[in-house]
Amino acid sequence: MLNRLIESAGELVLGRNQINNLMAMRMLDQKVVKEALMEAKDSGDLDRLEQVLSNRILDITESTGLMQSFSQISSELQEQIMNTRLQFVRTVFSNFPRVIRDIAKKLGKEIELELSGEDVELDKTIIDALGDPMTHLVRNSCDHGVETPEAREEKGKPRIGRVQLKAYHEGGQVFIDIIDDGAGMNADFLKAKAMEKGILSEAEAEADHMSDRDAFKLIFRPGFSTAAQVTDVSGRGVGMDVVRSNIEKIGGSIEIESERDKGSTISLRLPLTLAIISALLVEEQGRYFALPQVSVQELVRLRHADVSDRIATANGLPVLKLRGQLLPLIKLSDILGGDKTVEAGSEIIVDRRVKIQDRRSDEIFDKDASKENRPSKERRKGNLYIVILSIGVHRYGLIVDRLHDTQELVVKPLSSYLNDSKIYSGATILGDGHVAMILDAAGIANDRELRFGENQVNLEEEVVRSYNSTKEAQTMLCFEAGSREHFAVNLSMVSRIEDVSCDRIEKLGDRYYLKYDNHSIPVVYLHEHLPIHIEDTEWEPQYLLIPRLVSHPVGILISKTQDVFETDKEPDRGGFQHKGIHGAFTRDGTLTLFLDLYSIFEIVEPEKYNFNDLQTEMSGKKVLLAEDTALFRTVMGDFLKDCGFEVTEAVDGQQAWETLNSERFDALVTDIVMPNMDGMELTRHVRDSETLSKLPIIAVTSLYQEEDRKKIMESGVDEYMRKLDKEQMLKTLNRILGVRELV
Amino acid sequence: MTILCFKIDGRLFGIDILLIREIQERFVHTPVDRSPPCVSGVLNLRGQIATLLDPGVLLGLREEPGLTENSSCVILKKAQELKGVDDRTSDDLLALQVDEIIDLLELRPEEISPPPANLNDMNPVLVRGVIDSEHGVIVLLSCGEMLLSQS
Repeated sequence: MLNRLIESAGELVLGRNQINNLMAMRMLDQKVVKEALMEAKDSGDLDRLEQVLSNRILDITESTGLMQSFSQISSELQEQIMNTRLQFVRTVFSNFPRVIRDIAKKLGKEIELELSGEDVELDKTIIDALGDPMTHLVRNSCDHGVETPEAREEKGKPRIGRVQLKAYHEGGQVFIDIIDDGAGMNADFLKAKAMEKGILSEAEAEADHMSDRDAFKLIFRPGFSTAAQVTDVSGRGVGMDVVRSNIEKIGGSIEIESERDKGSTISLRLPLTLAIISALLVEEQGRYFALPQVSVQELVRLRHADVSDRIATANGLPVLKLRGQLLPLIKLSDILGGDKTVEAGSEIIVDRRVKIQDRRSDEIFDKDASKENRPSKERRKGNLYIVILSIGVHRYGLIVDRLHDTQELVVKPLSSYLNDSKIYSGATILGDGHVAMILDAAGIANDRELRFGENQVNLEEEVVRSYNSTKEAQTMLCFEAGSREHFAVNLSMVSRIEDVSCDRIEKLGDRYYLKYDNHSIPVVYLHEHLPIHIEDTEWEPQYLLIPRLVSHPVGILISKTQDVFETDKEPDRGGFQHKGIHGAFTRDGTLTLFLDLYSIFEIVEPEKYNFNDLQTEMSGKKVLLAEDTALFRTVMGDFLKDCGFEVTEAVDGQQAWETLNSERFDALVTDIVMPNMDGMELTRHVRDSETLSKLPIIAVTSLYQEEDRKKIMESGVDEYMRKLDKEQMLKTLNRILGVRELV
Repeated sequence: MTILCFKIDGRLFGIDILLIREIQERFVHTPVDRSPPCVSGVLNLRGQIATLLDPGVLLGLREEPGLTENSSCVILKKAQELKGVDDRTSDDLLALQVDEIIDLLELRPEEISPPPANLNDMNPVLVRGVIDSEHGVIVLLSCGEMLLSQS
């Protein structure tokens, strides 16, 4: 490890020398160019000047290579240094066997400790901060959770209680679960206790809809203790609120799940590292702010014309209508309060303006224009930029002046003078050397006293509701790409839409690439690959659609975004048997083609999607696809057939069950929400059956939530994933069916 | 001892030079909204973030940070970097914004006289003494007390 670090440091020094060299050469160049310019002025002979300049331009192109290797070295170095800070969770876990032994003896209980995932690595700072809160939680599990051996025997449980500590990775974060098989928590008891202590007001408790999950959270309120007797193990009423704040301090969160007499699970969700985060840069009043990517859920841009339709007022406060939900809105400018400091920051504004110019040639700001010009220009354009932020299961929208890109930022702590403003979680230094404050999503919500709770749909209810509703529409994004036809793609496959300008698009061979600061991504003109009517092949793309759920994203150049609409209609497939198109809709008299993005990417970059080998392996395998929505049935059916599977379709769980009993299949791919018999019930039937119990089952959903995963996996499916994620689907089928690994 | 002498709000003040890491005559800072009035912003000191304070506000001479064209920025050492100084700073990286840097003065301890009784618009704990110099009477500040006054 150290050797690799030294190696990288050496490379860095080499790079620095090269840059020094380059600087010296540039100084020389400057002189030469100046002289040539003077000469040309005197003589009027431009040829020599041209020659001199073109040589320099070549030099500059060469130096971009140097910059690239420099940026690569520094990212390598960063990664290596981060790695040196990682430590095994074992360091924390190793204390617990003794802790448990001591407590068990003291309490007269018999407790067994089980550890797993000790090899999971976390940043040293996090490891160091975990010890105390975890000790507290484990003590709690032993004291409040696990019952005495006698009580356990009475309940028909084994005498020896079990406490499990489990660490694992999920979704770029580390989870540590503290699981006991004890008495579980009693939501009603917690509520009563909280009221008795005056922590919970009657009005709050009365709300019958206070879910169990909310009731469990009561234990995190200051001054709460339910232990009938204060022992020296736990029950002193200090602690759980401190535990929570300690975990939150290191950027983590706590979730509780509990079932009476079965036990409780306390999940700590922790970031891998503290020092570097991925964050979205936004701009307000000419200054940059960073929003940690973990709390950013999506970005919304409202066109001026849509603002009045989409934003309503509830109780005098603005709310955003977003796909049938109402989200509270907060203006960043209100949070920052006044413009007392705009004056002082004017220098910065001028600087930035120059930078913005390079980035967006379509909007040239006059460098000398007074700073008031810009906001008014924004206002004239009238677009509203909203960042949807999530805190746990709650969401709200933050209105900002402008959105920029996502960057990896080095987080710097704030001094004690700034700690009081809870709206910031830290500061960072941007590429141009300026300092940007990192905003804290939870802090902002608290600042505006956003009260989540009763009026907000609880996640659990949301899941239940979505599982109960049998009508499942697909949300589509509709756009134009220089043609008369409109196109539609499934919104869940869209990562983001960016502004582009033509001069950043380069053609190499027969492919197009879009240049970024230091990398490029392949982009595609749809009319080059699809049979569509194009009036002007020289049309200028305005936006770039960047897809997600693909490993090699290709941007799609578009001229205009239309709108987002929901449909559950089956696309008309007649006459559209072209690769890349699932089918067509007619909307408001306009033909809208429903794109098959995966096929388009395969057409554009065939070498990256070599499924041929797999196809032969898979050919003849029989898959039953249970899906009630015609649209998804078409799309997923296409995926599977494309890979050589023989696909049989069923419109609901009932039909699927009957089909399974009459034919033999290699795998079942089932939707979760279906009429008559849903996916989970179907799975249970299959698992209970004598002949079918070993059938591989993949559950798919359009409402993928990491939180649901556990519940759905428990019903007996082999995998749970997003609909439309073709690559994932293939890899999973490949794995489950025991065919060799997809390259 | 050596004293850095600077002007705030037209008055002369001094602090011990040993408290100072460096002085920047030109600096770019980022204002921070919703910060206490004594904080005029944050600045990038070669990759470290320093909090920029206005001693004028800390001393109660003005309500809000005032920046002028001549403003310079005095970056203080962190408390753990101090050695053999009869004053304190903070554990955080702090910078003081001063209206104008006047001079560096070498002086013997006996040249520092106790504060006169008519310095009554300032909290006496903030003042270590006064120095009569060619520039006029300089108030020698206790940096530690000043930083504590509003932190």
